[in-house]
Amino acid sequence: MLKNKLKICLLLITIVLGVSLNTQLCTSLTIDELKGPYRYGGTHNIPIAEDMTTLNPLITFKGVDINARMFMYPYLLINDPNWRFDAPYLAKSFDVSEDGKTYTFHLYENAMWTDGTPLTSEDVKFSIEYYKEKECPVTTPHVGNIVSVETPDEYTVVFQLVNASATWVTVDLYNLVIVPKHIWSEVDDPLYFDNDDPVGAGPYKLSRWVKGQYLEFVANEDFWLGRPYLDKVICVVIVSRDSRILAYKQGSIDRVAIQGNEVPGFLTLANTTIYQTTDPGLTVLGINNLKAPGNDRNFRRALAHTVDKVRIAETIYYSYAKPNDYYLTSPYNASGNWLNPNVKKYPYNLTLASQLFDEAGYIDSDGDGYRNYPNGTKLTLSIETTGSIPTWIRAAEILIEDWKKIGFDAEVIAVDLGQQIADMVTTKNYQLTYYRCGPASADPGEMLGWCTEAQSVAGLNTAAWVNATFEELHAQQLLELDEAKRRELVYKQQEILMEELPNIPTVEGIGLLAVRTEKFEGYINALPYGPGSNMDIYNYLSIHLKGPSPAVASMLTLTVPESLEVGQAGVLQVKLTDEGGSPIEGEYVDFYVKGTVIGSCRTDSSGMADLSYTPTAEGSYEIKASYRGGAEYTESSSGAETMSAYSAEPEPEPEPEPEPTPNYAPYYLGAIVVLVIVIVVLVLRRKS
Amino acid sequence: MGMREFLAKRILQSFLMIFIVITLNFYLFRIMPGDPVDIMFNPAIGPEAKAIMMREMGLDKPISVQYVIYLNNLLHGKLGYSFLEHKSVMSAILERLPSTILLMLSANILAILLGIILGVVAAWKRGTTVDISSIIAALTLYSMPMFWLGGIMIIIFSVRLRMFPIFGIITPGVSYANVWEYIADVGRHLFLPMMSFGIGTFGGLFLVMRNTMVDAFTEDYTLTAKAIGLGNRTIIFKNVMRNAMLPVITIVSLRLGFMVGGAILTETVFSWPGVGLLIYRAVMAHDYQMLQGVFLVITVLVVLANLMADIIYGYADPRVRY
Repeated sequence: MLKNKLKICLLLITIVLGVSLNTQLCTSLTIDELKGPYRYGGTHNIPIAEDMTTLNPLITFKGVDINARMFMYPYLLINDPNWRFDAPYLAKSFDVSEDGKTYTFHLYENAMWTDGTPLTSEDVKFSIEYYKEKECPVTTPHVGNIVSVETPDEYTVVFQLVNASATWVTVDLYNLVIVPKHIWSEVDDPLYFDNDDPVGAGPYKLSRWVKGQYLEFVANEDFWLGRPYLDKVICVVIVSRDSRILAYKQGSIDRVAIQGNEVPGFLTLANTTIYQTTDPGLTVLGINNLKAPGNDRNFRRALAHTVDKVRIAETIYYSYAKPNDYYLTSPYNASGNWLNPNVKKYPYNLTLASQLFDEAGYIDSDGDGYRNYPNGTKLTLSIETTGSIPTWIRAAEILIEDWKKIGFDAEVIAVDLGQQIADMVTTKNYQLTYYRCGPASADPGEMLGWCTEAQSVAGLNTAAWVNATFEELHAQQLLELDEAKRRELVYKQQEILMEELPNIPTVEGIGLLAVRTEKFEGYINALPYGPGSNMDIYNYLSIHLKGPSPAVASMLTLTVPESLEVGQAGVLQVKLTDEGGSPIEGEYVDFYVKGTVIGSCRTDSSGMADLSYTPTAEGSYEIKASYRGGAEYTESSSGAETMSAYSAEPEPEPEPEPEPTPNYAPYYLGAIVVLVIVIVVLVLRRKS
Repeated sequence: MGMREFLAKRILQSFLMIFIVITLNFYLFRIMPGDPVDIMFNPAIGPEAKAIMMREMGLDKPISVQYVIYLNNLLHGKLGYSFLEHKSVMSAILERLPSTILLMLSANILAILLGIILGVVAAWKRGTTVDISSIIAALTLYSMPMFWLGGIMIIIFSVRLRMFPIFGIITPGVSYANVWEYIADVGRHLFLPMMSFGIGTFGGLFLVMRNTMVDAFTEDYTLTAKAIGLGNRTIIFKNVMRNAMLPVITIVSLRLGFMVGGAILTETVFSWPGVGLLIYRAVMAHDYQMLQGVFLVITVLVVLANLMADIIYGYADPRVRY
């Protein structure tokens, strides 16, 4: 037992830290390319933590409902596995006018609703006009910028916008699901429409919904891109996380989300692959910029040096999280290289932090052992967070531990999630806080918008920080249609944020998804939440039964840097050839670090594929690559390569003076003497 | 006081109790910190969508107005509409009631039978190994956390022995050839949650039963019964058990009243789609309408069960009428 525990500890210690995913180097994948001569059939079972609530696609924001919506309803464009929202779907292509105000979509001509009615441009036009006329919580907020929708012919739709906008596609169009005109034109109040007999057009149709138990979807034979390979997808409701893990191990479900501490156990399971994807949401140390001391920039900067992001990632997320310094997260690099690598950084350094606090006037002016405000009044650093979210509470505890080391009086205030949101969002009644917030879309404008004035009252600008230059840049970038120019503006915004530090970004989590591979193959490590998560339709068109092996053998060779500095990106390179040595082009290769997939890349004409990779901790890394095989070639794996990561001469932290162990001996002696006297007195009294 | 007056008084009290609970229910949930729209959905949904939801849920009106609307709706028999579940509260409860009743009734019957039978046996054999070992077993099982007991049963019976399924009421995706297959499938799914709830909760009833039985055994009338030469069976069933059953009636009827509330932990562990899970979700998401509705139904049933216990008491023990 103890041996096992030790083994697990060792594994955890050696397991790879955060991994930088940069699929930018890969070409993006189109839906057409998912096709191959694969086997049809099979039932894929996936767990859901709670049941679907409604079949009405216009009123619900819940994850499982979104999943069903994606299965059943068409969108003009969708997310690709690199989290870019411009992949053709119902629209096979689209053009944008020079002024950015006219979007023309060319639709597939064979699309059909599941009741046999053809799906045409009229349905698209109807949907938008319906959302303008009725109040549909999901879609109505996203039609404001549309002046008109024209249908020059049955398969062409022209959107006329009020203003050119860089985010119209990624934020607005992203939410505009298309519904059938012949059904919804009869619906007067969409809020109370149950849609019990849904007519969709997506790759799957709902065949059974046993309330509270499971949802059964079957392949839509008439799907415009051809029916998916799977016969059925069954979403089973398993409420408790522990039960989901057990159900996976028992074999009743084909995938399950796991936590970092469970990786070693899952690596020992046969027929299991673990996929890593970086969470687009960001965890921050929130600072109330309206009140002292958070309104003092010097305080915020000094505070940033006290945040030990590496320790938070290692101890709380079992190394499946990585430090963040950008206000955007790494998936944004995959979708468009939006992270500015040159922003000011604030490495963890308590000595420096202490010095900066001294310089800013936060010194122990009354000699009580704790630092005070510059004006001499008492200062207690209070960090508020939700008591029922263990990662937040533990991170807050790590933070105050360091603050106490440099002379602050500090406390964690654990509250209910509702209280925390109310304090951060509505009343701004807090000093420091710790939370994660995730974006609803892949557009960088959304997350950066959380630092704008518009979001400071009852919005996600929890810091209530306002900066005129930042506002101006934000307004500009939302209108900038040229992606390169927009990127420059976004970079400048990040520079201002990291200079001003309204909040302190801490870590971005790494999601871990275990999938069973004995029956199915064709998983794609899709951002942002892994194979087959919400809004990911690619996997459900790609996953298929394992088939007979194709004839030609393939070979894979992997080259990795011998050693890399921690925090510095290196390139992992593979070459895929057939048995005769000729390069194989256009096939996907998965890269593994310590047994889990960190990214997939497609080979170019010379059979090569590169993945950029950044180690975040010292140690030895075992790297492998594997090709899952395709229509013509067999699967193959490279040998395991080892790479070492070293630290760039870390600033030696002054060893804290060991606190003298208090000597309790006299107290114990005193207590014993008193006890003896009491006993003697009692005995004597009794005798007398 | 005759039986009629006694009844009238109790019924009036019950109505008053229900009204107080309705009012408390309404205000208590609104005191919880936080904005239901933010918690129910996602702060990132944007102000426009949020405004639509607030308006539709009636949360943009002052609390006193919301209260009057709520009372008016109740008088018209409407429990409200849950925007989290996207259905009326009544239909959400009714949808889940059959599975809750199936689980809770079977598990409660198991617990009651175990409690009463073991209680009688332990009391009869008081002081012996049988008594002591059943007390230890009952206390141990009673003090085990339900999720832990359920988890252990899943690991043993589902993962290791593969005898019973882990989640739900029926096997996903299966079509049944006949009703017997369906019943057998439900039975297989029901076994573990029923056992874990039943054996995890019979302890309380067992202890009450045992102790009142032991008390009754030492009463004069038991001695008299023994003295006039009645057999053990007659003494236990006719004299002792009838007297010892009084507190048990209260416990059993209250248990039955609380039955519709389901067993949140058991339902969560076994993904049993009952009212307990509905409550759990509603609490987590601040779904006021749902919480008010479910708690109102539970209150009414508990008050009714209590009333029923009182009436049965009235007949079983004429002293309480006076």
